[in-house]
Amino acid sequence: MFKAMLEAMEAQTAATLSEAPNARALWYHEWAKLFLRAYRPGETVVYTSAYAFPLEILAALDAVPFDFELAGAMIATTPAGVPTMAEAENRGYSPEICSFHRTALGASFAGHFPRPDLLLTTSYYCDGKPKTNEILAHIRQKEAILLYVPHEVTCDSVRYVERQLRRIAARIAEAARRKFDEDRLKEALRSSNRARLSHLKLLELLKNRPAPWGGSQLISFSINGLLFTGSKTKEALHDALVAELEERIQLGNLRPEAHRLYWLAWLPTYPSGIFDALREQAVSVPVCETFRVYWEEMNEERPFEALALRCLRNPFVGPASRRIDGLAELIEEFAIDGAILFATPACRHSNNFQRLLKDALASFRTPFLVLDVDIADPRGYSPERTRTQLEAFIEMLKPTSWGGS
Amino acid sequence: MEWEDGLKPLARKVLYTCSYIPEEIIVAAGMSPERFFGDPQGSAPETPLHPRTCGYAKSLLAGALVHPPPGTAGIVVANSCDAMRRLYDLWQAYVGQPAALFLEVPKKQDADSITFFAAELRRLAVRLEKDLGGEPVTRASLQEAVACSNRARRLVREVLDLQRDPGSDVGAAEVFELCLLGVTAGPSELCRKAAALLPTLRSRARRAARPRLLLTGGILHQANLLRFIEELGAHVVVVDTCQGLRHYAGLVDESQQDLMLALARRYLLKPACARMEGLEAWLRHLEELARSCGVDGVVCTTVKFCDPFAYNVPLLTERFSLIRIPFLFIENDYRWADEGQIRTSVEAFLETID
Repeated sequence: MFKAMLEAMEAQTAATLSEAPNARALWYHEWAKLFLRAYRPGETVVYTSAYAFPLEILAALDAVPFDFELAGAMIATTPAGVPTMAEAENRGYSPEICSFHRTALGASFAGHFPRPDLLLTTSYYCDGKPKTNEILAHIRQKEAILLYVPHEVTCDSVRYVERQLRRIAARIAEAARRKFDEDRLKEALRSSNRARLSHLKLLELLKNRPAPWGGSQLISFSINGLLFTGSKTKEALHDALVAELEERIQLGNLRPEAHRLYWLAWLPTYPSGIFDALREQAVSVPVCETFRVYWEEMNEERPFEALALRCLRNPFVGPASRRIDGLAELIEEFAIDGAILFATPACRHSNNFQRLLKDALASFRTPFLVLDVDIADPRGYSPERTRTQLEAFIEMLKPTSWGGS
Repeated sequence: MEWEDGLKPLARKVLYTCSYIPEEIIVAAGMSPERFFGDPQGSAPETPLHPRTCGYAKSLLAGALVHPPPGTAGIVVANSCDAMRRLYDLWQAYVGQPAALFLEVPKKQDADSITFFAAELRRLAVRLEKDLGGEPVTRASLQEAVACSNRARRLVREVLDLQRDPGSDVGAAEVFELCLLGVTAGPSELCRKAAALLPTLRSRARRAARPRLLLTGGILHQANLLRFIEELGAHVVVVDTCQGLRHYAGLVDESQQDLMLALARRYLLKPACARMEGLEAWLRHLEELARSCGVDGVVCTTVKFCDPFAYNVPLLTERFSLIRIPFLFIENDYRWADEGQIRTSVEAFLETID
């Protein structure tokens, strides 16, 4: 079922791309191609977490990253999502655990996912992801590997993560029956550094009023675009987006914009109507938390150390205050009027950051809304309730007759 | 410095939140370790923690906000899980005093992780001195603390062996009370109490065999569950929880030159909590424990919203089903407000064993 979805997506986007360049079609096309590679015999398939594990290592070894959370999310965009989750629930997985993980487990029980050679994940962002990784490894009788990334950046923690990355690279090379070539890793880092520059360029373009892009597409790309980290595809995607955004700004082909929001955390995968409601009110989301560039240019000559540092500096590692750092500047630079935290119920680390975020935003006098909506499970979702919440929030953003907001 | 009876320094209390935090380092810093259980029976006021968070973390914050523990120099919070790392953030922001120290605890058990953890333990020792006013941790003070904790573990091991003995009249509830005393009053007090108790326990008359149970799970801050299992006529032969077997299993190698490394090894390699990497090893350990203790059933209890256990439970259920050992999973809210309902479940479970 999942493979058929990918094949349809690949064919459809290929048809679009044959007519004219299109960044969105290119992105979906590459995504479908990458996941379909995981079904091809002879490929080395590594289940991983694109948003957390440094994929440059996989790129250097031509291993195919298969992100079980993103694959589960894709299933959850369709009516097959709930029955897939039910496959896991019927085996005892509680509805209190993350619906992304229930979908991934259900899809694996139902035999929709490709066979892995290795399963590789990180200790961040959450406790559930490494657990799901181990359960999937148990189902497939394959090895699960955990990259443990400590809370603080210290000399010891950098060395610890670096050593783990070296071992993991060797283990992937063994699974891929290839010799690990550090020069290829350096090339992957060079590619990432170039993609970082085009990423910064995209962020500059998004400061434009009205925003040339944003909303659910931006948030979605900010997460699953990471699948291409360390590859030429990532650079090509950024270049295509930069060209499109520049053209939109130049031609004035932009949506009307009354208010600009900053979006934190993830987004619902099923049709929720959230972004339709925002669009109707001329509210844009020109920047989101997962699209911020938190890392410095990497030292290509010391690739493992550079990747270790990037892992350790991830805002979802360490104290929650890292997610707030630089927020005041961002609000000013992007002319942000308000912020939304998407709070899926099982996301313990993010939900327990709500109060800190609320207080920080209050100190910047930035209106704030928590959207308590499940990420992948539409059961119990009320579009009307969410719309009412959003409308009330947008009302707060409007300037009052006495000049305040 | 305060003095007790003019002879010994009255150690200042340092609270801790996880059995992966070595009490020996706190003792070696001249302070008194106490596992903090928060405000489990309190009125559970609103805390900055999200409602869908484990009751233990909520209770800790509620306890600190409503009844700040007196005479406390600080608290050590481990990076045990998502709830605990956010608890540390919120403690820093909304509690402040007593000051909180953070301890990184890897979820891995390999040599690199042990080396890294040892370095973290050295940093903890320095912070106990610098931030909480403890004494410098020296080789001699650490050696003494390790010896004391090892003595306590050996004594508890003897008590646990008596509890496990077929026909034993040493009840799980009274043994668990002793285990709880060890984590709240410290290893010295535990040694005194256990040494005094052991002769009495050894001389107990034997009693007719009862259904034998293994209790496993996360945090258990009271013996109520064990008490009502006993009232229902079953015998819990081993309690594999944070304050039970897992807290006391395995000794620190006192002969090691580097005691921090010895501590790191003991703590990371002790029987694992569900937070640790190694699902298959965890399942195998529990299966072997159940088989070696000859149990007739297994009860697993965890606090609701404890993800490390919640993800593992379906495979644990499957494992015991495969080896035909009846299994009961009980989710509790940490306060045990639904004790009546839990009692009914246990009663029904024991009927299936009979």
